[in-house]
Amino acid sequence: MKIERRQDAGWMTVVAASGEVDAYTGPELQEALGDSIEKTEGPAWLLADLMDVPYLDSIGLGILVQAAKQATATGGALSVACGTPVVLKVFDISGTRAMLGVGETVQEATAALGARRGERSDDDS
Amino acid sequence: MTTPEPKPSPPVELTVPNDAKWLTVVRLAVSGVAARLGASYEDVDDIKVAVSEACTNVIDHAFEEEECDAAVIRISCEPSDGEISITVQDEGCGFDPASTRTVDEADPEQEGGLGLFLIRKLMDDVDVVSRPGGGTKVVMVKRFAR
Repeated sequence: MKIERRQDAGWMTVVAASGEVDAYTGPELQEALGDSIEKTEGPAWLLADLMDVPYLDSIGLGILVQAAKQATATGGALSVACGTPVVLKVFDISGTRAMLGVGETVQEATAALGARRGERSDDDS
Repeated sequence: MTTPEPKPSPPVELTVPNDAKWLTVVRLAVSGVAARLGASYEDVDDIKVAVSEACTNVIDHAFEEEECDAAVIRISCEPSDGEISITVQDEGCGFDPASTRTVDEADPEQEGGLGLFLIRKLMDDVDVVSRPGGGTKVVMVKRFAR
């Protein structure tokens, strides 16, 4: 598995993974997401870019749900970009698609995260 | 003169070490077998996830740490007319199926249980045979979409 991290648009951290996410590779993704949240000062707005992930199972799902909870606890949120049918099916049947803010493109996932950020600003004002 | 019944094919079998690094090989193998039997892309994907989840359960729960080095997972794919039956078997600690909760809804925040939930959602028939100390056998059937 290959993982890249970058700051985007000045407010969002993108963690882009490529390769399969299972019990063997999952810890690497878990560490990258957890580390990104920990290193963010203030609310963590995190986009997990899984556009190049051809496989993800319950292990990966647990990692994303945990990261979403961690990000929410900072006052931010996590969203997921994923276009792979089998992975989208795993999100759908586990009922996590809305909770994880899944978009089928990076643009959709970015918009979902931006909307959550906007809602949070409205709540704060 | 009657045409003789075709003989059933022998199963395709694979044995891998009880180690997560072999999961990708298991997925590759069962995907290849299912595709060879005529499964659609979607059915192949379902089978791939279900078998991988069953193997992950073995890796996570079946063996004590000191047993892991020698432990194996056996996967057997039995073709039949329009369907495939896949068995994932271990000789680990086993459990009493009556003592486990039935998972009707996914709860990704709850440790464990989600794998079996996904298996039941993705496959047509699922049977879990286990007893404490006697290993576990998960038999999963997928009927191919026509």
